[in-house]
Amino acid sequence: MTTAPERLLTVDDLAVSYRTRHGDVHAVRDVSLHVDEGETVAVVGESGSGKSTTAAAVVRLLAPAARIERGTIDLLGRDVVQASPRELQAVRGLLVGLVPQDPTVSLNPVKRIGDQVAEVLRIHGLADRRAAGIEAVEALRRAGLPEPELRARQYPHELSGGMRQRVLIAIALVARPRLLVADEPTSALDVTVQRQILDHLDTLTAETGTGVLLITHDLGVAADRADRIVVMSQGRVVEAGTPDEVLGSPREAYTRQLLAAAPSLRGARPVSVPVALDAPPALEVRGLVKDFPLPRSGGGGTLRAVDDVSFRVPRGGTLALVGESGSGKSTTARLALRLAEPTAGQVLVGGRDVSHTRGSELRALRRQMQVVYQNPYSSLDPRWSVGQIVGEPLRAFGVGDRRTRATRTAELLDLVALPVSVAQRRPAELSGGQRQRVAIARALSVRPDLVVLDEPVSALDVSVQAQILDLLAELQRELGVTYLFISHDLAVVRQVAHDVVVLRQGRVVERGTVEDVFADPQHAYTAELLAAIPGARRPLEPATAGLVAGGER
Amino acid sequence: MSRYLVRRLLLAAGVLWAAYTVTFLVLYALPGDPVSIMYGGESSDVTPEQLDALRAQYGLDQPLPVQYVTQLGHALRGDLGTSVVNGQPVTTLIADALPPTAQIAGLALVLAIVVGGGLAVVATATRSRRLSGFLLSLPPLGVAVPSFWFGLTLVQWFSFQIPLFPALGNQGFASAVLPAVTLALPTSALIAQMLSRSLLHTLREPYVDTALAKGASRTRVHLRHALRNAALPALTVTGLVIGGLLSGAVVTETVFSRAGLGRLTATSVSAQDIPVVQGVVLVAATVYVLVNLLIDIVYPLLDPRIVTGSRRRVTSPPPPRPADAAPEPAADRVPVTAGGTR
Repeated sequence: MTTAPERLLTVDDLAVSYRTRHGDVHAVRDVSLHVDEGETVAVVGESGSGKSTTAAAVVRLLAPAARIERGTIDLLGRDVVQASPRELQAVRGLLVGLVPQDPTVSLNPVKRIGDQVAEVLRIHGLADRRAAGIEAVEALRRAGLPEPELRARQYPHELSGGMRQRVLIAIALVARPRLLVADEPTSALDVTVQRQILDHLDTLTAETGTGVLLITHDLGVAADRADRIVVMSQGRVVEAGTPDEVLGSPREAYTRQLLAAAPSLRGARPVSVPVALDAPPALEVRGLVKDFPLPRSGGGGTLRAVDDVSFRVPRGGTLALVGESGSGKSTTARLALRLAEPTAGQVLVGGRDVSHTRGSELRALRRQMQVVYQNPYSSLDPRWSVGQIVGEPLRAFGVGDRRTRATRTAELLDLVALPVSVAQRRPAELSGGQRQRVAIARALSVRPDLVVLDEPVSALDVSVQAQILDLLAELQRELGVTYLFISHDLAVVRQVAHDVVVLRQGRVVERGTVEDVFADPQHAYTAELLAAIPGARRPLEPATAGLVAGGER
Repeated sequence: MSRYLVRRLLLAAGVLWAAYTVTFLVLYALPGDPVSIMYGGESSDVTPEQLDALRAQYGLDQPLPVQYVTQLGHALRGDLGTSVVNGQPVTTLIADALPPTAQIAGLALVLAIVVGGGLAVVATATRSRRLSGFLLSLPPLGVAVPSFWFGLTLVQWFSFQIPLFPALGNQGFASAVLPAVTLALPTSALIAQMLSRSLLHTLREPYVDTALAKGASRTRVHLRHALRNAALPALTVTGLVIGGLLSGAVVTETVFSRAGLGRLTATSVSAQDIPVVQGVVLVAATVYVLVNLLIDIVYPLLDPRIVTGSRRRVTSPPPPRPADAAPEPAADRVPVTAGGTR
């Protein structure tokens, strides 16, 4: 290209604040950035860094409490900040498309897919009803949705998350806008789906020269996809430049911190725990099978969610169960915990068969196995204080008296590096990372042998993820506790697990030590999962990134 | 769909039977003797022998289970017995009383939906905080105002001060207006309250932002996207308030001295006319059951997520769906709602 690419978006000195009960909160301050034709600009930062607010400001879809205090947003010569509602309606959808964060809630549940895509064309008067319907199907096809004619007649709940995100991409691109704003477009999706979606977005925008403003918390995604990266922290731009500049030789401490935290860019697990291999396994499952009955109206029969799964978790070690949504990993964990009854197979805890344990014996068994769930926002009772939450298992099992329980609670909070004063507070007053620490403290309160960690960091920011993973590793070293770690994210697994079991459609497709599986995956599916880790296109160690020739994306 | 319908119909029949049985037990467990009431109570000059003969004639000398079975059998054939006060068949009394009540109740329901729905839409759509605050404060007021007082006030204003409508009686459509308005007040307040809550919640859903990002106007988003989703919970409430309309008719028809089901209920309860009371309860239950049956049938048409025939909501492993058997990498085929990644 000889002519200079057209400038699509210029954000200059933008400041946005939110009115709250405790006064104004300045979410975005002095943010300047631009996007040219055919260019992908990634805005990277943690939650609360102002990146999503910046994206929302570009299309003026800010929350009601938000106010643009100053600055200009120029979209193809139009002043977005001063635009009237009518002018904004003419711009949205036509010049700028938006791909929202969570595909599962971003489509109207009572309208057909095709109508939702066609609506963009109808609003802007680009086609009559019939033509819009036909073009909508075409847009769905371009977005990579199989059988678009059928999909167009379906409702959102009949599609998977990945398919719904493709529908949203079709909606954003159907009117062929010049700029696409994608706000964490794949954060709610499995890694392999994430890769397909991002690949597809790359192709579509490359063909038409559409500029992309990509909002992400994952530096790995930004490194793979962006021409330029803008790093934001606490409402300000802290660093901007090409991926090589930003990731290769980060100037700011914050960028280095973010880089160190990104699971995909982090190297192997920090410390390896020596495991006595001859000790009896803390948990062993043999030939586990779980069938779920299918609805009679759907023809009856059963669905085999877990199919002949066997593994052992060595004492003091960590076994990771890896797989995508629906692979049966959570069901397997529920069977191991005796929260669900297996159709066939055995569960052995400390070498003892507990497959048919009931009553008080089962209760005693519960004390040896505790769980930490994925979402710390919903797994803690909002009406209880942190002290009550952490102490609950102690009360439930009648451990000690009130005083010793209080002492133990304080000890546990200290163990997970929370100040003792937190005990008086309620979960709502804590951050996501702090809440997950509370959940871990609760799980550890009765000194279990085994802790099942069900996607414990999936709901957390990358830098918080890293802290929680480090905490888990440290606790294992100190207490010798065994982990069964459930995750869809191989990048996370690499950092905490000793052994890996890869599940697909209820079956074990690969097993082995982390080193072996990551270095030399035997099954095509494992290789696919590995390749889907964002950041894989770049070398793992940031220190060596500067040596790689630039130019390549 | 037909399976679903059959299930619903069976359930509806079950509810009716239960309503009949409970009223029977409650009414016949009450102290009081229908035959004595009929003939002027204890002090009258009818001899005990004559009373016994009458009891035998009405089957009241039979043990309770026998009475229950006999009466249920009659009821199934459409015979609800005769009034112990004036000897008329209960079915005739109800058939006469039903139309005027249906008139005001139907009118009230339409008014309630239009006014309540309109208020909710305007209150949530307006940009003016004051207007929205004012409108949203009306529903609690509407529920709080006693309907007999509101009815009397309406009569005072629109019959006596400005003679627009007749104050009493059953003469034509005009006489139905004020009772209908009285009856509509608490109902519309409930609908407005429910729908505005639901709309405010729906307007915060991410798909509303998606629609705005398409370039849709606020009006379009409000009416085409938010309203239909928000109307679903309000529809359930509408089914429930229809029961309220019937009980409201008792007060309203008394205030306006209108003949109707409400008046019939009031008079037969005070006269302890047990067969009539039981008939009225049965009619009320039938209306209630039919309305809710109708809503159950309409609901899946409005909300595609409700699958008729007791199919899955969100169960832990997703049943494989044939529609998904496309040549697409497996990852895309798995619904994220599944329990897999929880």
